Amino acid sequence: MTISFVRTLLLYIVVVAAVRLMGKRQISELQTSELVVTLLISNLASVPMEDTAKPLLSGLIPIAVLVISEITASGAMLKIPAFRRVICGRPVVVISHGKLQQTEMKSLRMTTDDLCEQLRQKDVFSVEDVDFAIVETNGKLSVIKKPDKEQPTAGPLGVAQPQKGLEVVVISDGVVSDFALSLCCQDRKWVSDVLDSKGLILPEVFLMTADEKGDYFIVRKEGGA
Amino acid sequence: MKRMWAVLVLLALTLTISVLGARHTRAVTLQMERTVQEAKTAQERGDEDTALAFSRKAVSDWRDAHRVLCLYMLHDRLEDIDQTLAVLPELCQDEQREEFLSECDRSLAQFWYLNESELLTLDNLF
Repeated sequence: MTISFVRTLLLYIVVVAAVRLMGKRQISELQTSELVVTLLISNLASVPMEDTAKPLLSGLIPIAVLVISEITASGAMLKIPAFRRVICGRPVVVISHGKLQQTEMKSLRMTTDDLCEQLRQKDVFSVEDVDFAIVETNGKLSVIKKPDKEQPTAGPLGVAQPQKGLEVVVISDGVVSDFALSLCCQDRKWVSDVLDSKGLILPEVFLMTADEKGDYFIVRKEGGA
Repeated sequence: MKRMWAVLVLLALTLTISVLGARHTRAVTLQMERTVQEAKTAQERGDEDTALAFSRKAVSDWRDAHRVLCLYMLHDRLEDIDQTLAVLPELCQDEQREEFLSECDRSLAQFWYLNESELLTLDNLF
């Protein structure tokens, strides 16, 4: 049992490192090859984890080879568009100028129910409202509504909106993030000035957000520091 | 770019482990085959003292080799060889000649199979 315990810990570290090495992606945004590699890695890691008669290397070597292949393939996809098309395919336009492309939908084995479901997830409740709908290579649907069905935004309405810049968390549970401060163009002195003006000390702050304009929002820690 | 370096390091590491593994298996199995073959030949010509000495040497050599082999080979496969070799000195001491010879043959076949399983051949690939 101790062997299983240690092996599981080791494999956990390896799998996390492997996934980290392959780069950040949400599960739903995985390309075909990434999905295959992710499934294979989890499967490969589980074998030496539960069967101590198998050497640990019998899991580690295939995982390493998959990571190598995946990173090499993604590097190649970046440089060679034709290779990317072979591995990931092309985006498919299923609604063009408001007209359903039935042949394309058939080739994707996409039913009208699937299309309507994905449109609803994009807050589009009528196919008539859609000018273009594109199934991306990761399977997600991109939608462009007809101009008269788009919600008006501040720009076309001529309403001036103040530029606030990026709002970031500069203090989380009493800990200042220098990275967040650099993002909102502030420094630790500014933070301590703000806290002094509010009569607070750092350990009393649960959350503080700030933006480039110097606007901030503070939540005190419950029950004191 | 850092990722590509990591890939190169991983690639070098996996290839090195794979090649060293195959070479180590070949070296160990050749050495073990030689020792068991010596024990078998000695028994065939009636020299039981030499046969006993070689069968004990086979057991001790295999114990040393086992530590490294179990890092990358199926443990079940190695344990089968453990069990075959473990009986050789006893059989030799008890003068059970026929059984000793057949166990020698069995271990020779196991060593051959062990070496064969690490070779990059079409049989192993498919």
